[in-house]
Amino acid sequence: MKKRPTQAFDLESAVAEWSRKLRRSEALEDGTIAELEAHVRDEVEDLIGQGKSPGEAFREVTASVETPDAIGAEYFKSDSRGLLPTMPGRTTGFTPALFLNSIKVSLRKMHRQKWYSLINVSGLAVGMACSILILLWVRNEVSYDRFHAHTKDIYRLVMDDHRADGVSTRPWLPFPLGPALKNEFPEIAAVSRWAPEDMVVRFKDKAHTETEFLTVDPAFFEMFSFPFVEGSPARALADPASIVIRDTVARKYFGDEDPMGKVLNLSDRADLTVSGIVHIPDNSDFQFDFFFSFQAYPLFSVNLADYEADWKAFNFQFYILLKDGSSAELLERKISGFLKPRLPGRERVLRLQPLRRIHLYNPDGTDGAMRYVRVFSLIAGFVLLIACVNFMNLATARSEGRAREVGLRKTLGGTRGQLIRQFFSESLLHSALALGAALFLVGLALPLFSRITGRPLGLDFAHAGIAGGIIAVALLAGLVSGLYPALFLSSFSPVRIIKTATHRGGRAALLRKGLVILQFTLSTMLIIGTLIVNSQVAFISSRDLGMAKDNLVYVRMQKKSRDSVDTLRQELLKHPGIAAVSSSSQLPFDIVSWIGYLDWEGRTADRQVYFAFLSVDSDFVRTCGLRILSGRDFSKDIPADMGGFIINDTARKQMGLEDPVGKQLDFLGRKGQIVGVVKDFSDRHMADAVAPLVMTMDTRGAARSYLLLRLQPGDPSGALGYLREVWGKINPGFPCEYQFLDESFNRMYANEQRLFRIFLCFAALAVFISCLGLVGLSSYMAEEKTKEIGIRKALGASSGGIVSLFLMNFVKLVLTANAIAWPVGYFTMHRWLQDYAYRTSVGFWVFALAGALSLLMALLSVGWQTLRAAAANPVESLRYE
Amino acid sequence: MISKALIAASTKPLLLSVLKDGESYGYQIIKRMKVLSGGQLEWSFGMLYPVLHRLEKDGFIDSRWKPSGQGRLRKYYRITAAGLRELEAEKAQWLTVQGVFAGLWASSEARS
Repeated sequence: MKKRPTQAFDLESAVAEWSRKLRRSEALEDGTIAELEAHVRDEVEDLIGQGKSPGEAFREVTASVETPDAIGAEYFKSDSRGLLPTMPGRTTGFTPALFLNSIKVSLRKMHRQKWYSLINVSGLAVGMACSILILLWVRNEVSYDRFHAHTKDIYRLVMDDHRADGVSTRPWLPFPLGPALKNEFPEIAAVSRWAPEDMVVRFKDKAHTETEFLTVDPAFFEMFSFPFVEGSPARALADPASIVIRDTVARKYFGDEDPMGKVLNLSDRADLTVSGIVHIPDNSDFQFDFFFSFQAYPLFSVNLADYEADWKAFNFQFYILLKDGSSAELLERKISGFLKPRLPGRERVLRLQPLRRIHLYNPDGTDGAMRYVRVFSLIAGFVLLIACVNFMNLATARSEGRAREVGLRKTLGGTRGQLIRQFFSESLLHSALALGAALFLVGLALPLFSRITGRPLGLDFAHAGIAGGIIAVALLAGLVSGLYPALFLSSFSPVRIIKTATHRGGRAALLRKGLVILQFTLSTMLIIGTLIVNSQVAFISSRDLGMAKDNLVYVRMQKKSRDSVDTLRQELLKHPGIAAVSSSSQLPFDIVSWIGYLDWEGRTADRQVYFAFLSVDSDFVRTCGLRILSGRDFSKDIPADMGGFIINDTARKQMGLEDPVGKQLDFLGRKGQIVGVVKDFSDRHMADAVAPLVMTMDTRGAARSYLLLRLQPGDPSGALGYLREVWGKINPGFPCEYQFLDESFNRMYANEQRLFRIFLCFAALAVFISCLGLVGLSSYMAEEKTKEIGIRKALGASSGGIVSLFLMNFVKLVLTANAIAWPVGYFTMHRWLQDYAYRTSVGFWVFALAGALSLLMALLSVGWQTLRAAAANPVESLRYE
Repeated sequence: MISKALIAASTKPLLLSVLKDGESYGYQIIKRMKVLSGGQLEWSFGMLYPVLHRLEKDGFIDSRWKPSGQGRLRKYYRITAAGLRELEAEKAQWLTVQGVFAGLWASSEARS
């Protein structure tokens, strides 16, 4: 569309607008402005006379004229005859004297208003301390395994396993895969396999069961850059009979002796010579204590060739070092189908997971720990925001008192820019003080926080990221909390302030309400989160596990001690405190083995069940306190049980059998009868559903990885003493290290416990800071409304009536906050609960309780100020009216 | 174009000289200067009005608001007796300077 400037342009309003702008300059008087306006009209008229359009003429005239400020400065110069260098208030840039004045005034303000300053600083300090703690934690989380020289070129192999019931991605792969890949793809610089072990380590008279063993390929220490205290990464594992130990365990076995060259005995099977001492940083996922090479297998009388030909045992992880400049995507495409010709059957796709993503993401690329990094960062932001809101609210609430200061400063030539700087310097000063207090709090809380998070966190100021982050937090808090006062208070017009004596911003009051609602929304959401996490944790620990986990003790068995299980059992059962003894290949609450698809008598073609499996000894059901639904437990007196099976109820349902007892099951070629069905028990983390499980009776080798003892209720010390005694006789030289099953079980849920504690901490702090703000705000309001209260009372209002009137104001805000927090909290926590196969139901009581809690806290913080104000004698407050 | 320093030094005597010829207002003064200097002297009003202001404060000129032809108000400036005296003093200084220049330039031209 074509513009029609002649019609669109209105000279009168343009001139009026122009002179309005001039009025902003303090140096220009009305007469001066009228003269300038007359000039503009004259010149515009002239130009129109020369044939220009009014718009053009106006623009030409005003374009040749400097800005209002420049005109004002020109007048000032001629008026002051150059005695003053610049017009007051036209100072530009940094003025040291003014800066010092800002600081001085800020300090004076804090001194005079100790109460407000205390609320501000303590609130900000607590908020900042939270943020700093979480910042430390987050920084630690994202730093995992980033310190290796080749971090960006190291990848873990993972496999997408396309099963009938969906795709599962795991890092466990068959042994021969590594060398095969390396031979075929030149872009692979090195491969190291990796398998965890546990063994009994003995040096002279010291023997311990060690669970943090890692078998690796010799290339391992060249790929990863773990610093060696002694020995060389390149040569350490060159000799098959060598072992690298972690610096922290060196002392445990060798004391002050030099470990290098010493010989360690492993589970009575092999002797390995210490060839290196390695330091594993805390922020590594490779928290292992002992490392030896697969080439040492023959020393344990294990035939390595068997492993090298076995494509079916998915028991190893693979790390790949890419050559410089090779593309991981390209390699991933090339290797994706690598397993197909070697493992016919269902689809198994190889993929690469970057090393730097292992700690934070699951093998399939979904968020692992990353989720908590996100959630806690968000919570840290919330808490900091809540603390900043206090500052903003108190500052604007007190704006009435400060309005006169603003008026005076402006009258004396202070500019808005200077006032903004003044307010920012106040908020920054507060935040600097708060930072000091926050660092002190962080120092106090850090040991506790490290324990809660299970991470050794330190406040390392030398670290640029940490120092920078902390300063950023303080600056952010200072700027955010100063933002509104700076922009709002500085906008006061001096004339209005002086004329009306008071200044009450309706806009500011509205904003204050909004911010209080925001605070309570966030706090209530955190309360809801805490309650739901708590109820899920309680749900998990009180859920019918289908197993009696109390009074159940287990001992990790070694290859050499496994053969003694039968003898041990005979002896142990002689003690009255030991009710039953059995053994199993895995702990019953953490079954990780899968046997695959099995066939059974009467299976219809559409029934495909992927079974988990567990090898157990006789009396397993009784020992673990499982419940038999039909059939019976394995018994050593019935020889046929050696080929029999017990299944769980989930398996029964998925197999579609009403009464499976007596039915034939084909266990990969070994046929046998199902002898019993047990009620489902918690066989894995409750995030996952109970798997269809098949148990076989087996007494050989790995089937006896754990010795299980059911103790009689009551004091276990007698039975345990007896266990040690019997063990010492039968397995001399092997340490008897027993553990209570319920303790290990609870450790599995440490993450949830941790989450709950962190939630609880931050929710409590958020509520505390919010309430702190309310205390400040209500004391201000009580002060401001002293006269209103006085008049109301003089007119016959009761103290109770006044209190409820004032409380209603806050109640409304808190209720609004609840109305927002409930749905948001519900959806967020509902999503979190989706990760659990077994989850607590989110009842209304959670929201009611969260609402009641937030309301109660708000009323408590507001109440006493209001009560005091309402109880005051109206004569006092009205005397001077 | 005339240098800033020279404009600053000459504005006062120039203004007093213009107003000696009779009452005038800002825009008219600017136009007159432009004509007289052949377009070489273009005063911006941001500079002119403050100087007028100052001269008035010093008592060299005075002003009054008078309706123009279209019924609009304009501020007219008029030279005062003090202004006339000031102009005489300024004039003497400028003539001295001019005389020196004339002498210098005449002799240097003659030599070359």
